[in-house]
Amino acid sequence: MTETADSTDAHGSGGDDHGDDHDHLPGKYTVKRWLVTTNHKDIGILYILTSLFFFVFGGVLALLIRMQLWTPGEGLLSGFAYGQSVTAHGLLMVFFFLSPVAVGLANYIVPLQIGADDLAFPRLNALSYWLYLAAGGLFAVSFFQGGSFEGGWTLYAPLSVPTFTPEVGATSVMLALGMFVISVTLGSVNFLTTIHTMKADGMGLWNMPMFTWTVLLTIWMMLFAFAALLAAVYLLAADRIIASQYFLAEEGGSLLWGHLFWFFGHPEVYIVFFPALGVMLETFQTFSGRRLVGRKWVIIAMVLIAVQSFLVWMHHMFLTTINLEIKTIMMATTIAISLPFDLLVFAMIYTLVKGKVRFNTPFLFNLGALVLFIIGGITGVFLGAIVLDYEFRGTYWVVAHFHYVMVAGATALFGGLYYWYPKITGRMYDEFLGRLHFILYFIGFNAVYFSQFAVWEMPRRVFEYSTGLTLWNQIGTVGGFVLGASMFIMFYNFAKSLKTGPQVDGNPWKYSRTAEWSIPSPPPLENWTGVPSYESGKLEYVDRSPDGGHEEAHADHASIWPVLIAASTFVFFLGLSGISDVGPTGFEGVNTGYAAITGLGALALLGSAAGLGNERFLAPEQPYGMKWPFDGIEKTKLGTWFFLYSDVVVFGAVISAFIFIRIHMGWGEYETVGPNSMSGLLPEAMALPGLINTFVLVTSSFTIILALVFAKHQHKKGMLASMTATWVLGLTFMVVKYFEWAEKFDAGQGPSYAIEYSVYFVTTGLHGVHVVLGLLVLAFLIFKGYTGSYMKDHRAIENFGLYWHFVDIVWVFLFPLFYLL
Amino acid sequence: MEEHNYDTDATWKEVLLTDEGKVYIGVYVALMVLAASKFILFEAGIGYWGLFTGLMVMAAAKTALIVAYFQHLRWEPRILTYLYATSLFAVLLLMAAASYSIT
Amino acid sequence: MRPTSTTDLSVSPLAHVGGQEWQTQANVFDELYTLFLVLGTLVGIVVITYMLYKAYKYREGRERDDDDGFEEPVLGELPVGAEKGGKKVFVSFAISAVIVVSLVGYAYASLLYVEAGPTEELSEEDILEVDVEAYAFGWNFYYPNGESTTNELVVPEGKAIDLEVTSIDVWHTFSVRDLRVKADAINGQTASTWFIADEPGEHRVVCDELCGSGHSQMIGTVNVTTEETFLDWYEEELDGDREEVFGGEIDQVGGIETTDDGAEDVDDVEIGDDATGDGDAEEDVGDGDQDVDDEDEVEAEDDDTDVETDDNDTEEEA
Repeated sequence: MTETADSTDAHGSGGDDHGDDHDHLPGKYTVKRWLVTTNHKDIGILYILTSLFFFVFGGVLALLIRMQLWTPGEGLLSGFAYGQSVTAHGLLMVFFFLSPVAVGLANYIVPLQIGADDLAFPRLNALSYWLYLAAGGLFAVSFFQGGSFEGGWTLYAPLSVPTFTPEVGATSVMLALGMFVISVTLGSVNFLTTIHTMKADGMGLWNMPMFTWTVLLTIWMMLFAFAALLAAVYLLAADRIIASQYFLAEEGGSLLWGHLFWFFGHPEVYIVFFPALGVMLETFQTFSGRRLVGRKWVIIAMVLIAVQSFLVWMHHMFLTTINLEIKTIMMATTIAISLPFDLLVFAMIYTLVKGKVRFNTPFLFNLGALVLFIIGGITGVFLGAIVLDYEFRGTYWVVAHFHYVMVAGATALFGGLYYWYPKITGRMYDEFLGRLHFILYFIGFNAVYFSQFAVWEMPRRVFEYSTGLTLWNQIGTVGGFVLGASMFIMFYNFAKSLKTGPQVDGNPWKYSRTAEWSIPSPPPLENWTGVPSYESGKLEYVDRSPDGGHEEAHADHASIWPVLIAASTFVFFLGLSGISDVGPTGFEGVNTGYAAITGLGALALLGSAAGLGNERFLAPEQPYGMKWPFDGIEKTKLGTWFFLYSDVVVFGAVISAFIFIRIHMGWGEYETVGPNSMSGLLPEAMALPGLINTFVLVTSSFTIILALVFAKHQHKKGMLASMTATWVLGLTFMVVKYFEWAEKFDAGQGPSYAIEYSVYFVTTGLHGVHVVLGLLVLAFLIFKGYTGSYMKDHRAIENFGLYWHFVDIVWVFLFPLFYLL
Repeated sequence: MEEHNYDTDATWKEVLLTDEGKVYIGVYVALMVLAASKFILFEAGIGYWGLFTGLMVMAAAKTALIVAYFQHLRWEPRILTYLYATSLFAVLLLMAAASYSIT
Repeated sequence: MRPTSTTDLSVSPLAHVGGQEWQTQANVFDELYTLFLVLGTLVGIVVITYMLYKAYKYREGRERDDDDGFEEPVLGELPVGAEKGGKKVFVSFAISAVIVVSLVGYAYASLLYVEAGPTEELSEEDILEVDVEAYAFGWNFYYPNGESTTNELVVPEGKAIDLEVTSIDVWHTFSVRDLRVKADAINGQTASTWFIADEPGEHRVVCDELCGSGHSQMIGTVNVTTEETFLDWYEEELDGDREEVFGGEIDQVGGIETTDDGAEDVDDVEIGDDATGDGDAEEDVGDGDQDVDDEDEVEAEDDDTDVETDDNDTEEEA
């Protein structure tokens, strides 16, 4: 029925055995291979290894914290160092370990589960990874720039503005987060396009494996949630670099940050947990031998959770001054979101009943994870009852709760590493060591996190506590070390087994059933011989069509540009981190050294992006596939639309900040910067720049669509003329804006002048950045068009047009809001 | 690798006056008219909130034209439109809830 | 540890009229916490034990008479669910939902109770208003006569202490663990909370929100004394008038915002009218919007009395 190769199949994941000249992929033991690979399996491995490194980094910080807590009072860390430790621990674990390890598994396994050859956009996939690594690098650098950020992973305002945390390192942390968001957004676009258009025939959405389901829901949440984070970080970075006042001014301030951050922050915790849930659902099925009980309800419950995750964020703000009505609504939605989780727990438990349960390491970890998640989840319900939250907020109850649930997720993911280790490496790990790891892990876990419940009356992020709590803290510290030490058993096990573990064939686990187990371990570069199809009701391989076979041989798997783009971006953001001095009196000057670095990074970025655009790269084509509900939409167009949906949320959040501030201040109190109808002056004259720019931009939208029409008719001159006209109009827009802004700056009315000016410059500035980026891309497209492209394949013009029209739409709303009202 | 330097027989006018071209020209004219109307509304003397509503309605109308015609969603599979609306909805939700919370 | 009113579990938080003793936030919390803890632990033990038992019972190595209807899955099968059992999942889920929703319904009733506050039962003589100003890294307490202490809050036993909490720099959280009192301290916002301490004693004040390098050391004291001791102290140390020290209202927990100069914002709730936070807010929004030019004048006039009560300005009261 299915093709499996024997265990000694020479089709390893390296290209060295083939000597295929169409692979362009160096051998797997060369450095170059790992720098240029775009194959999903390689990238998966990169993600997993890098995330484990950050896990150790974050874990060391955790142990430093635990050592400080051995006795009350300042120990080996000063208050400043302690603050940095708790902050970095949180950021590293949440952003640089948990999600990426899941993304790594998703990268490796999801295409195999759905029958795809690779992700939809392999070079973007590599770029996502390298940006993640670069972001982590920038984060590490922050410690050397006067100190990293000390205000907690939640970056609460106004502690996060330079008045209170002037270190350059703090800015680096935020910019690193921004880079990470870009990485994630590219990844979401990629995975969404892949899962929605590259599933094997016969596998509709409903029939996808559970791990793929959870990954799909994760990336949908990521698309919208991380956009909100990008907006928040953008505003915060503006406060830090150009001295805007979003988070220092009372009208914005703590509450504004709370809304923006938690609108992201709550979906984020499910984004972190869902892939782990996916691993649990897979392993519960494999290691009980049963099919998932209540599968229909499970899928519905998960979809509900994904949607509801955006409706509960104010339960992190119950103690602020938000009104009672909204608090009540949020309490209701919070309780409502705990209900689908109950269903998931029951489904998993009932799946074990009447099964044939084997307690291999992957299952031990996932069963353990479910136990821990149940405990954590129950304690979360406490927090949903507002009266209880009034007391628990800011205490170790919250810390204990989220460690139980989050680290339960990590537990499941470690189980996933064990589960798929034989598939990825072709060898089996040592089962005894695996079980030993589990036992020590479970003991350490409960020692450290249960002790946190015992000391729940301690405030978070402090090292002074009542002496009566000392014993529990010490138990916690010992537990932490046990937990950390247990991980080294896994590292040793994995490393050792690479060399000496027994080799396995495609399917080392009894009762497994998803597609990844039907191919060799490790899988060959192209994953499949033949095209996987479920059309008959089970997995079979269909011959590739003669054309497809020929094209398949020319698929590219390597590109140098992603790593270069990421390196340039790193330099660019590094430069931005210290480019200006912003202090209590506002903008205090530019640092030329950092400015030079920024310029260098920008140039390198332009060059490497052009390189990527110019490169001829053939992604593995997948002419077959289930695409509902995205039938008939071309791949790159779909990717562009996914990106635009995310951009809608970015702009929407920034404009929401404006609305929030304006309402907070009193709508009528707010003095519109582009003058308004209330200023009593001749509105036409004063709003002229805005009006001119509106006409300019609308016309440019018209010209770019004309460019597409000309391209479709292969009228090269017309196409080029229209594109150039668009470019000139876009430039005009920026020139008019320049004069407008210059006038204000000359009058001393910059971003720090008043909150209205902050909002004006930062919001129209974000729009301006979009215009500039568009002009850069358009210049490249004009050049390519001049040299003969787009007469047959005008997708780039169409997709660019979609982006440009979106930029126009944003201005359609910015103009009245910032000039007329 | 190089594509041919096509230069069709079609003239500028012929391309612009295809059905597709004519639609786009029409939309463009409508957009310019709407943009100008915003200014006219200024003088209308309908009070601040009247102006606000009018301007937002016009902005929405312009957006609808750009989305439907320039971004081609009128002819694309509906799912793209629904997702567009969903992202807008998510944003409006944040805007409304955050604003409401401080009233 | 917590010398507040004895935790009397027989007194339901829903009955606060008819002469029964008002349950402070501390009591309400204790009751609710205990209920959740007992129920939560019970549910947790039941579910986890059931799961582990089933996992063990159905272990592969166990001898079985029949196969329990075990259907071996096939590699490469299209992922589907088990044929049976969906109903069981749904029933268990429904039961858990009932439990959770009831628990939260009860919690909601407690919330309303706490938010309503004991305003009806207390006379002005029973209330002491203190403004709390958090800074990095300490606490200033302002008493009705405008004088302040730093890091030590002295209050009399048996009185309702109305706290108006704010910050002059970053986000802090004022918290007295023993008395179950907490409020976020945000610059530009004033959050309200209240408590009643039944016996003299000392309680620790901590900051529950990371606020910088000195966060761990932001520790203060609440010194609860007898009423006489308090009045003596107020007179001697703070130069206050013992006849004029009490008064005011208990505000809804969470409170409202004011701008620094005290002038009410167009969209603010009016505190005098809106102790329970129902509906008044909408009216204010509607009214404020029309008279954009005159609104400052209009609001300032209307809100004179309100401005006075929630300001630090106590001349009117003295």
